[in-house]
Amino acid sequence: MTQNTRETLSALMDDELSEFELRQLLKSDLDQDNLDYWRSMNTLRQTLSSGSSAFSQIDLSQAIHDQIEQLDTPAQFSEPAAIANEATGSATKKAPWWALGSGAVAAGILGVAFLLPQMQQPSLDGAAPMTLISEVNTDSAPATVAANAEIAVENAEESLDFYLATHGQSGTLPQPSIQSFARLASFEEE
Amino acid sequence: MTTKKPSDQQLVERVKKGDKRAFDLLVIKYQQRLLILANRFVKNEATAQDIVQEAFIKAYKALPKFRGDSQFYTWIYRITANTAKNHLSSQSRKANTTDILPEDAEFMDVAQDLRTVDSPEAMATAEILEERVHDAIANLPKDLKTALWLREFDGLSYEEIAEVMNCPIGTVRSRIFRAREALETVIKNYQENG
Repeated sequence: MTQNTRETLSALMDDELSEFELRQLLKSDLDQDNLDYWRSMNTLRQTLSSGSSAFSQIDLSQAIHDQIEQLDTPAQFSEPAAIANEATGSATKKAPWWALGSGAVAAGILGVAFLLPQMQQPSLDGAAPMTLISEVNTDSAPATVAANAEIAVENAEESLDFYLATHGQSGTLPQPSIQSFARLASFEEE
Repeated sequence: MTTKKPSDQQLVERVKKGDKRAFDLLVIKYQQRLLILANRFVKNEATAQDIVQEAFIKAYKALPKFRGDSQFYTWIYRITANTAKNHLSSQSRKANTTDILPEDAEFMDVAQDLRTVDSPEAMATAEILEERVHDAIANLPKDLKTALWLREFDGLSYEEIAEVMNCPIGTVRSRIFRAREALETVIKNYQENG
């Protein structure tokens, strides 16, 4: 296994390693022996290309490795940390769907409350405008609400009787082709 | 045929993805050359080591911003040179060196420059290693020696060496590896005992 790792390191020296092989190499047991081998191979290349130097015997890698281990790992360097940060970010940056839905409902209610009064214009004949939703006293007791309902029904019946009495007369006109609108609206049998 | 990116580029990509081992390999690969460079500026081995160490830490921190427009070595070379210059400025000393352009990083014979600042003892020791390595290469079996020579001195790829030697690429890879294995003993003895 160590021989394979060393041969892979040798190929890495020569830019002859595929990405897959490099991943496998880094996943493998890159122990101190393998790192020493890598160092020796680089010293060999240095010696063959430029001659050796007094620094061939110096190795800073362990000291640098220790310092890096002490660093706060940048987010870009740590896939799990990056994923964790992304997860936290999504919770803080994005509102949940139900919050968006409730916001839309609240905006709708506010819109109705503000727009309806503006849409209501006073009637030209000076009659009082219709009762607005916003003017309904929702705090009324049930009995009061029922009484108001009875009054409303009585008013409606009176209005209908008046309407029928007024327009029903046109049904007596001689033109048979014209039928009273009021008679069509009534339930009286002819 | 599998597409192969340059090793440095692959290693940098692995470091960016959080693999610190890949950075270890880059440090080991370039530390000697950068020590030579830093020593050229400060003319002190211990200070040169501090500078190179600092340069690598700076490079590690800045690596997410490294876009790969230049080669990693050119980039770390520039960082090391600037760190050395800053050191000299902070020491209020004038850098007694010719200007070194980062563009020249890949072509500069740093070992040759080092000889001008190495002590006679260090130069003698370095020459001993060279002699041992060349002796060891001379004693290699012919097929191993040829493969290593074509790779190290002529810069041929494995594919090209395979054509020259009329053998499979896998055999080339194996021969070069075996040649290096044979030379490793020489290097290791030198690193441990001088």
